[in-house]
Amino acid sequence: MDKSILILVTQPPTPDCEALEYALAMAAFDIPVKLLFVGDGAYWLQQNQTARKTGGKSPSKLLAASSMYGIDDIGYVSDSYTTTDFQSLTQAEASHWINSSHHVVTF
Amino acid sequence: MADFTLLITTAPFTSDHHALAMRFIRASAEKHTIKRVFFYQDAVLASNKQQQPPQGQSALCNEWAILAEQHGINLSVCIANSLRRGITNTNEAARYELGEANLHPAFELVGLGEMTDAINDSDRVVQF
Repeated sequence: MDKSILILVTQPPTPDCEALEYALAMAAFDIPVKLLFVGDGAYWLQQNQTARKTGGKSPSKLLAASSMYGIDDIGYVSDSYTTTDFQSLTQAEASHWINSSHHVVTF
Repeated sequence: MADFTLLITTAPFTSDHHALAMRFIRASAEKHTIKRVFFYQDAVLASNKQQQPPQGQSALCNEWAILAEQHGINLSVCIANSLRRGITNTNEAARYELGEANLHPAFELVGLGEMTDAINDSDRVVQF
């Protein structure tokens, strides 16, 4: 069985979406991936974001594509941002996601 | 005994994370196996061979190279992140007509597929 990875995103969106590229690449190689956005990282989930650089990738479009890569678990913990598009997690639920993953990588 | 992969994501010149990662390797290499060091995001800048530190300091790329040779560790650098930041090997420099390659010979440009191997064959991925 492949080991699983949780990508923990704590930083706000960046011009190059390297955190999401990392997640999609892992999923493309059939690694089970969970995406957890915490604090300012939750702003990646804001709808209809345009690319932050000319010719760049939109975080919204990358996230929309994540289900095609088999990433179904996308959650967030934030006091200042809410969305119904992704799972809002309690601290306890987020801890469970972290503890149940083989590896955790933070961006 | 455990198998480790080190994932370095921090910039080499604005934090001490690379030094900490090297200390981790020296401390753990006797009892554990370091499968590889994978450089991602701004950490790839460590692989630039054209570093000229101030007098009396050693170039970080050389420090990584010596450590990797001592412990038989592969230094894997994300190719997409590297090209974005101007780090090229001979092939990529020729492909994009970028002039002389600047990747230190101790490092290797690899795709993220290498990182998926790390996920599956390492007991722990330790990030710096």
